[in-house]
Amino acid sequence: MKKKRKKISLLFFLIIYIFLAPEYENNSIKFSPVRVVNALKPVKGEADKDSLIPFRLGQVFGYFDRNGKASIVDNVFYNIAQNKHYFINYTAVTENLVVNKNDGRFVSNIKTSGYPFFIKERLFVISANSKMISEWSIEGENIFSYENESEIISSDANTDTFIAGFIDGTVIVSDKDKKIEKLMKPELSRINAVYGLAISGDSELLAMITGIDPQYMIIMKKKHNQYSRIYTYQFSNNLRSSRYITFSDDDRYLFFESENIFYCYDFISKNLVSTPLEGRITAIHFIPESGFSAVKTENQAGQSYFYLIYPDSRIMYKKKIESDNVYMNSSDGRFYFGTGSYIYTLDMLDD
Amino acid sequence: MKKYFVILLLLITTSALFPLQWPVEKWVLQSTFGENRGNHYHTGIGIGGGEQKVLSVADGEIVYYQEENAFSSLPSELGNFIIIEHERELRTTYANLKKDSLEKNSIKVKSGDKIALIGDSGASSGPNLHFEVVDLELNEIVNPLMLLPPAGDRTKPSIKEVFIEMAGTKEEIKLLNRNNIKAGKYDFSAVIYDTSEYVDYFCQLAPYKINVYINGEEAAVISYNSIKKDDKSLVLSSNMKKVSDYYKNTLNSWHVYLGQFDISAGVVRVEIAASDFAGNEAAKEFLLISQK
Repeated sequence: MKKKRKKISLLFFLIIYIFLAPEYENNSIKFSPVRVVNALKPVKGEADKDSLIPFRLGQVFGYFDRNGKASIVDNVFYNIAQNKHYFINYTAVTENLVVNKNDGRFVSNIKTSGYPFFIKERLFVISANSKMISEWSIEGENIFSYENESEIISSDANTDTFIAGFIDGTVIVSDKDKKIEKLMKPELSRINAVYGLAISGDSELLAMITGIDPQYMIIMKKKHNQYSRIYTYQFSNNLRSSRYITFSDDDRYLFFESENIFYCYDFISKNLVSTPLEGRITAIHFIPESGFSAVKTENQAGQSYFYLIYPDSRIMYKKKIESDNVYMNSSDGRFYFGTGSYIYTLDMLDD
Repeated sequence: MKKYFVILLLLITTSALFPLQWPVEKWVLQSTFGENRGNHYHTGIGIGGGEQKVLSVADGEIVYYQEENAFSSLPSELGNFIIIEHERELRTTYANLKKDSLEKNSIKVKSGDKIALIGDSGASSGPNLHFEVVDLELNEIVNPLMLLPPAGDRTKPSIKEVFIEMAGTKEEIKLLNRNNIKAGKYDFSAVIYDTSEYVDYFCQLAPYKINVYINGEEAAVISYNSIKKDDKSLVLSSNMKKVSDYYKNTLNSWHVYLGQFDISAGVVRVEIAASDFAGNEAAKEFLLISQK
């Protein structure tokens, strides 16, 4: 990806600017919030339905447009599955799942129990015992189901391919024909659970965080319809919960986490860089337009920090934040950052 | 002194007989293995008894923990949960745990160590521990009651209704004591459930075993010992049926498929028996007078 130098400009709300007073790590970059949306008191007026952006702040969710006008603002029942176009607001005990459009209109009633989640435009449901995963169309048609003796603890998908990792170390892959194949058991470690999985946009690369004693991040490349290991990184410790790992939208970078370290692997330079952060990572959002990663951490004292990190591991911006509820998203050159009940809009403009 | 020696001997014998100890000190069985959960079998047992410590059932190592709605975790109705691997190729899951109670830094655990508190996270409607056991050698999810010391129970299962349906037709006949039918192949099904004496509300549970006898000969045994993988679905190991083929109708139905049997011309005596894990048994007998 062509290296871009961005500047984030425009001063709009002075108070908000003071609240988010930047601590520059790089003085050539200006960072200012330009618009704020109060998620609890949205701007009145009809939202532009073609540019709706989903948000969730604590138990409030909704969609707003580029001008801060909300199409819907409501309370989350127990949890919510949400993408740009649809949402499923569901209760803790589900008997069916109601799909709504981003303007609140009813779309379908999916006759299955379990907890739903979107990966981009694809909708998946995990059964109550976490042993079955199924894909559904928005209209409520079951596309595939797969059940295993072990709990599913990681997954990823692109338009064609879906992958899932299990506690017993199994990885399954379903291609565009929805044919499910047991891909592998990595079996590199004493215990072989798959704690994180990622698939590139073209399905050529697959990455995972796997194992205990030792724990590895491995990258595999597709060759003759088989994935073969091309890169292995051994962690110095074992983490026993699900790990964040994802490819950038252009597949140039692979981002992953381990406790309080943020890693970035560059497929062009073939370099792995790491950024130690203050506290455990609790949210990550990659901003494709700029190549920055926005990261939130929380340390043992309960203090939260917000970072913007360059792909080469330099910290561009760091700020202590107060709220537990943090929202991060980006769309069409804008980065959205929410904390408390406010969402701040940051425009990114080329120099 | 002799008395203490006997108690000690009894304790040693009991622990040798049962590979696992109960994951709580005071247990109330609220749901059992193999129950119908709509799109899947209940793959564990549900234990009530109010908020209390959750204990590791054997020596082992925590291999996974998940906190409800945690960043980077998939959503799960198990809520807060812990998975432990033990010797003897066993893996146990403890779910619906109380928020912030997980002892996630205690990686190596001893039998009886506190690992969390019972909670109501995930899809639990009240304080409840969902407990599961996987046999890693057999690759099967096993009924935890087979490995735990006896829970004790005095209530019999209930056999409510028995139905037959001639193969190829969709005409279901509810069996009476005497029934006149045509000879042929019939699919048998029945509404069967167990109840618990430990809860003060009407609580239906799956039985442990169902037997079908035809003219005194055992024609089918469905036991709720284990669940395993078959192609893309989990099936009850004893009859290889997936949940949608075993339970007729949907969620909360106790109407189970018993099998297809050949009823020849003449008088045929059919007995359906159901027992729970404590050995309490119920049975019902029917006469089929069949003609060619």
